[in-house]
Amino acid sequence: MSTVTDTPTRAAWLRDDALLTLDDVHCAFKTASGRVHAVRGVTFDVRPGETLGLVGESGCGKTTTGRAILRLPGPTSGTVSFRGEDMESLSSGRMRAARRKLQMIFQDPLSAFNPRRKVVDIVGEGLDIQGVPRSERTDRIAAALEQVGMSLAAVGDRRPHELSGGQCQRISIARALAVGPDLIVCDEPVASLDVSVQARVLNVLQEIRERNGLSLVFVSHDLAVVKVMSDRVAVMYRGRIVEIGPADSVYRTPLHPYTRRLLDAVPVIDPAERVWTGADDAEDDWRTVDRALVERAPGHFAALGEIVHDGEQVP
Amino acid sequence: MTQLSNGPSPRTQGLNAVIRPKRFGTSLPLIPRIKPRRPRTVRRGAFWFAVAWLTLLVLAAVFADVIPGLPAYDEKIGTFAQPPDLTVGGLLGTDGVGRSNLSRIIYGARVSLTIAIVSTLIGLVIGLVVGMIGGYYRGAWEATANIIANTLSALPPLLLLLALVSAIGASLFGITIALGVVIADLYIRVTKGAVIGNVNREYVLAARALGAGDVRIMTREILPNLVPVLASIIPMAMAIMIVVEGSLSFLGYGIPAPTPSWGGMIAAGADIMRQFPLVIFWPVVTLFLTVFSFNTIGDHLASRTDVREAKL
Amino acid sequence: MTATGTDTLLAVEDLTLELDAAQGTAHILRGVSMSVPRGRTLGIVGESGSGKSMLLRTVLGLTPAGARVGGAMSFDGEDLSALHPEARRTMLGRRVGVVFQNPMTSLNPVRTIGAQMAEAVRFHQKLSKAQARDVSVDLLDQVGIVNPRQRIRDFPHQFSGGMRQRVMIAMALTCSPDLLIADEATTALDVTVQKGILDLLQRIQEERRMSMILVSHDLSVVAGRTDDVIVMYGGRIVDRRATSALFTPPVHPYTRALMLAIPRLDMEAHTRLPALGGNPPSVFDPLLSPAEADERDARRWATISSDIVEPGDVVDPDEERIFRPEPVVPGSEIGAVGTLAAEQQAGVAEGGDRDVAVDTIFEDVARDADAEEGTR
Repeated sequence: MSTVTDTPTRAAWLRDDALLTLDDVHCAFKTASGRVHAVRGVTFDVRPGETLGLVGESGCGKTTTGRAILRLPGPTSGTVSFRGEDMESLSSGRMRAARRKLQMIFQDPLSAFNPRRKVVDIVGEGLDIQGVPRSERTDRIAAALEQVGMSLAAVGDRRPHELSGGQCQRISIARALAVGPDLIVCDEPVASLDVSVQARVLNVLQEIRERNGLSLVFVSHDLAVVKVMSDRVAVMYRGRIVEIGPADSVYRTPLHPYTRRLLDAVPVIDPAERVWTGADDAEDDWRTVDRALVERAPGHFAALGEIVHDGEQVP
Repeated sequence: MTQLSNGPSPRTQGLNAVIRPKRFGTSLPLIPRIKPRRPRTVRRGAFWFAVAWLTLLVLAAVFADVIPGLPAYDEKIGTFAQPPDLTVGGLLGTDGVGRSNLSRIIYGARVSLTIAIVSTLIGLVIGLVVGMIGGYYRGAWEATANIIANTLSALPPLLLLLALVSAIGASLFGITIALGVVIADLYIRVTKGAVIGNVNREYVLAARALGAGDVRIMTREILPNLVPVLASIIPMAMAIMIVVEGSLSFLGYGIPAPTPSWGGMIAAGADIMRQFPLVIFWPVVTLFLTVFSFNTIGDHLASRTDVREAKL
Repeated sequence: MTATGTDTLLAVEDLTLELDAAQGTAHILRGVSMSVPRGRTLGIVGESGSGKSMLLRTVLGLTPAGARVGGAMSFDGEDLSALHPEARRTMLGRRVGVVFQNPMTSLNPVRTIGAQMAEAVRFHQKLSKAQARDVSVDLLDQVGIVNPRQRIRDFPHQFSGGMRQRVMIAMALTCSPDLLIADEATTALDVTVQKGILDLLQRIQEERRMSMILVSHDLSVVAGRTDDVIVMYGGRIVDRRATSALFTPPVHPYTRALMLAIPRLDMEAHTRLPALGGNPPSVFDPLLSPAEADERDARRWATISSDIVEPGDVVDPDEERIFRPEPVVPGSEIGAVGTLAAEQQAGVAEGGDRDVAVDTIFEDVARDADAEEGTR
C-alpha cells in the first residue's frame, strides 16, 4: 500500500464521461491594488452535448473561469482537462489541435472583431490560421454562415460597422463554428442586445448546438437567459461555486441563500415564474465564509457543508 | 397649447424631406451613425488644395532640371535679397547671396521631402518594432523598450544628432539616419502605449482562441489599429524633421552648401530677417503649406478609414 | 389632451425632434404626446432607437446642438415650449431630479462626494457650508449609505456601482424635486443591486409623494414598479395604459412581441423564444401619419417566429428557400390578439397577483415551442 497520506478525493459532482473538466482551478492576477484572486477553487465538468450555465454577479469570477478554459490566460493552478487530457501537459502541436475544439463567443459584438475586416475574412480567420486551402475555406465559411441564418452572398462583403448588434453576434458565432469545435464558451453573448434581438441570437445558439451536438459553457449574469439555455447551472460567488446541479432543480429548489437572493431579485412580469420552494434554514454567513459543497438533492450540490480552510485569506 | 414660433410645422417639413445619400463611404449602415453635418465645402476644398500642392511640389522637384528658364540653385542671378520680378528665376526674388529663391525652393524640396519621408520611415520602423515587442510581451521587453526610449529622449537631441552626423558623415544619408534615430523615441512611446491599449481587446483574444500566433496577432490585428494614432503624429513629426535639418545646417552640420534645403534656407534667412524678411518668407510659407497639406490629407484618410460606430 | 388643473405635472403634446445628419434628417421623435400626473410613477419602455431617452432629454433641454424641437411641453401648468433649451434646463433643474445610467460619468472623479453634493445643495438653497454638509449627510443616509459622515470625504471610485447610483439619487434629491426621472438607472447594475435601487426609488417616491418616470428597455423592470406605462417604438408611442392592464386584452401586438421574447425563470432548457425579426424603423425614414406608421409596423409585429433567418441576410437564387416569416404563435394578426385572449377564461382575479391573460399567452408559447421541437 502506498504511503501517500493525503490523496485528494475527486469532487462528488464530477462525472466519468465528461468532455471538459475543471478541477480546483485558481486564477490570480496582479493588479494596481495588489494580487486579486478572481477564481478560488472551481471544479465542474461538461458532458458532450450538454450546456452548463455559469451564473453570478459582477466580480464573481465567471468570465475569468470561461477564459481560463480557453487559456486566455490559463489558470494559475488546478487542471483543465479536455477529453481526459490535461491541457497544461500538451505539446504545442496537440495544443493547437485542442484549441480548434474549444472556441469562444464574446459579449460586445463590435469589439470582438477587427473593424477593418470584411465578414468573409472574419469568419474565415480560424481557417486561414489553420492553413485550409482557399476553395475549401469558402465552402466552410458559407456553411458556417448558413448555420447562423445568413448567406455568404448577402453579408460576405460587409464590414462590422454596417451590421446590427444581432448580426454581428451571429457572425461571431459563425466564426467560432467555422473551425469545427466540440465546445463553445459563450461569455455574456446577449448582454448588450435588445430583447427581440437577444431572443433570436439565443435561438441561433440553440440551433447550432442541436445541429452540431455541441457542448456549451454559457456564462451570464441573467438568470432567465441561463435557464432557457442550460441543462445544468453553477452559481458562482466571490470566485467559488456555491451551488451546482440540474437547472430545474437549482431554480425550483435553490439550496444556497445566495441563489435564493439572486432568484428573488430578478424582476419578472409574471410573479408565477418564481416557483421555488425550499427550506430556509441555511447558514447566513455565506458572505464571508467558504463552505464545502454537499449533495442535498440528486445531482444538486450546495456550499452548505463544513467550512473550508484552503489557506486563502477570506476577504 | 402653443406651438414653437419658428418655421412651419415640423410635420409638413418632414413629408417634403428627401434622404440625401452620402457621397463618400460605404452603403447606408443599418445602425446609422449620427454625425453633425460639417461645412462640406470647406473640408473638401482643403483636401483638394492639399493634394494639388503636394502634387505640384513633387512634380516640380522631380522635373526641376527641365523647367524652362529655371536657373541652377547655386547660380548668382542678381544682387542679394532682390525683390521678386517677372523672370522665371526671379519670381520669388533672390536670397542673401543672390541666388534664385524659386530655384532653391524647388531643389530644396528634393532634400527636405526626402529627409522628411525617409527619416520618418526609419524612425517608424525602429519605433514600431521596439514599441510593439515591448507593448505586446510586457515584462522585461517593456523595460528594455523603456530604456531605449528614455535614453534617446534624455540625450539632448542636437548633441545626439551632431554625434551621429559626425560619425556617419554629413551627407543626405547620414542626416536622415541621424534624424530617424532621434525621432524614434516618439514612435516607440506612441506605439507601445497604443499596443498596450489594444492587446487586451476582445478581438485579440478571439484571434488567439482561433489559434493565431503572436506574430500574426501583432501584424494583422494590432498593427492596423495603430494607423489612426500614428497618422495623427506623422505629419507633425515630418515637419519637425525638416526644421531640425535646418538647425543642423545652421551649425554647419547640415547638407553641405550649396545644396539647398528648406531648413537651411530658413536658418540662413534668419540672419537677415530684419532687413530682408522676404528671403525667409518663402521657405517658411512653403514649409507651412507642405505640413498643412500632410496634415489635411492625414486627417482625411483617418476619417475615411475610421470605422468607429455609434449606437442610437 | 388638456392640462387638468394642477393634477398633471408634466405634459407633452405632439413633440417632435429632428436632427440633421450626414445621412439626412433624423426624425427622432415623431409626435409624442403623454402626461405624468402628480404622485404617480410612469414607466417608459422601448428598445434602442425607440426615442425613449431622447424624449426625456428634449423635455429637460438636453438635446444636441442643432436639434429642432416641435410641439408643446408644459410643467406644472407652465408652458415650456416657448423657452430656449437653456432656459428650460434652468427652470426644470429645480423641479426635476434625474438619475442617468452611468454614475461614473455623472460624478467628477477628482472631487469628493461631499464636495459635489454640497455644491448641488447650495445651488438650490442659500446655506452655509456646514448646513450644506448636514443636508448632504442626511440625504446620503436617506438613500441607504452607511456612515454618511465619513463617506462624504470619499471619492467616487471608492464607492461600488450600486453605491454610486445611490449617491446620484441623493444628488437628484437635493432640490426636493417634484419629479424624479431614472433613465436606465439600473441597467448596468447587478440584479441584487438593481433590486435595492428600485426598492429605494419606490420608497422615496412614496415618502415624498413625487412623480417618477422609470425608463428602461427591460419590460420586467417596469412591469412591477409603475402605475402607468408607455411603450415606444420608432420615435412614437404605440401603447399606453395602466401597468396592471398591460396584458389585459386587447394586448398591443408590439407589447406582446416584447413579452414573448423575454425568457422566463420557469422555462424548460432549450426552449426557443418567439421574437420579432428584422429591424426597427430607422430615424431617417420619412415621417408618416400614425395610421400609416401603424400599418407599416404591423407587418413587422406580425412576424413573430423562432426561426433563425432574418430577411435580407439570406440570398438564394433557389426561390423556395427564400425566407418567408411564418408566425409561430397563432392569432398573431392584429385584431385577433384580442380574440385570442378573450377566448380564454374571463376570470381575472381582481387585485390578485396572477393575471390569467398573461398565463394563456405563455401557454400558447410553450405549446408551440413543443410543436416546433417536434417538427425539427
